Amino acid sequence: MTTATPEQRHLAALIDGEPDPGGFERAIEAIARDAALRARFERGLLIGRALRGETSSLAARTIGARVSAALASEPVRMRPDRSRPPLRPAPARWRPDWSSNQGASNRPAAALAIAASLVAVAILVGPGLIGGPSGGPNRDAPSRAQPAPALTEINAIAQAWMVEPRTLDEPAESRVLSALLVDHRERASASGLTGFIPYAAVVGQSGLR
Amino acid sequence: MSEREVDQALVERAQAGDRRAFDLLVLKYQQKIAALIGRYLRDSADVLDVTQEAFLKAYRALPGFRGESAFYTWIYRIAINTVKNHMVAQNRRPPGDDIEAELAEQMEMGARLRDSATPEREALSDEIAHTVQDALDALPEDLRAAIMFREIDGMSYDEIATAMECPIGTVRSRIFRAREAIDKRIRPLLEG
Repeated sequence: MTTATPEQRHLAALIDGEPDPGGFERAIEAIARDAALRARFERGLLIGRALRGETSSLAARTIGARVSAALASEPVRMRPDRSRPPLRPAPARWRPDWSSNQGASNRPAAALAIAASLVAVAILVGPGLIGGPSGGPNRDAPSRAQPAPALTEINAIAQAWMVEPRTLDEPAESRVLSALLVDHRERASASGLTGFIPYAAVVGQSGLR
Repeated sequence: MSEREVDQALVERAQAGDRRAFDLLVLKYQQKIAALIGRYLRDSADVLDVTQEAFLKAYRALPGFRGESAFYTWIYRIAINTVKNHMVAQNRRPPGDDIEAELAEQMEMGARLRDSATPEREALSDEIAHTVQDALDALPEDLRAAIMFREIDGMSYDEIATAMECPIGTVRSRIFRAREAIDKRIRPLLEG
């Protein structure tokens, strides 16, 4: 009489579609680490087919290996496993573990959170950066400090430069640019960052020439 | 757990990134899907290629599988669509309707789809079938009845226990021993 090991009993129950709850996990683990059990599982299925008069093919037995080989070059696809217990509370200094399954399953959510934060920052700060004194929702904000007259003038010059690219070969324009750089260094922080994009555009256009 | 629940549990593990679970699903259905595709394609290499492609498509689509149908119904439809696409690409007329897929959809996992044709000439069906039948005939009556109730009639352990008037543990043991005895006979055929 054959004595069954626990793994073999779990395997037989899995073939019959009637594993115990714990036996299901153990059968999967056992098949994954034991090629002989995997082969036994497949033969068990073939025996059932033969008993039912269903045909089996030697060549079709290779499909499992072919699919596994093909999948080996593909990224693991997954979605959050709702059957698993919730994650432990994050430690004081949390770091994402991208190498683990849980980290990978959290990756889309983390990416979305980062993207949402960037969009929020762009919405709140962007108009002030791009539009200068006249652009965006900040133009009517009463509490905002008004830029100094000299800076307003420089911004106007910079806006004009954006429309028509200039070159440093002309001494007059070179002086304007130098003044703009000096003013930016001295007053940019006090100006609430207005005019940053015009400044960058001027420097960029001149630097390319 | 029913057979369908076992499949669903394997699907959920595979969806969570466990490829071993998907490997078991492939092992479980590779013969059925190859036989299905073999009804449409004559070339054995094509049958294997299209069967493999069907399983790969299933794996890629797995995140969207929500278990509203049995896994086999789902993979069956993927296989039908894959073989249709293959035939169109080969300038051949694909199957004209989805009658078979609709039939499969109506079937529970407990019901068995019987393959009407072998996909390849090299099928071992006859030899395996003869060997299995010989081994079955050589079994003691209680073991033979237990495995026939299970594999041919599709009865659950509980139903078999009632029919044979014995504990479920005895049913499990009898089916296991019967399968072991048959396995010893067919192993040389498959591993030789």
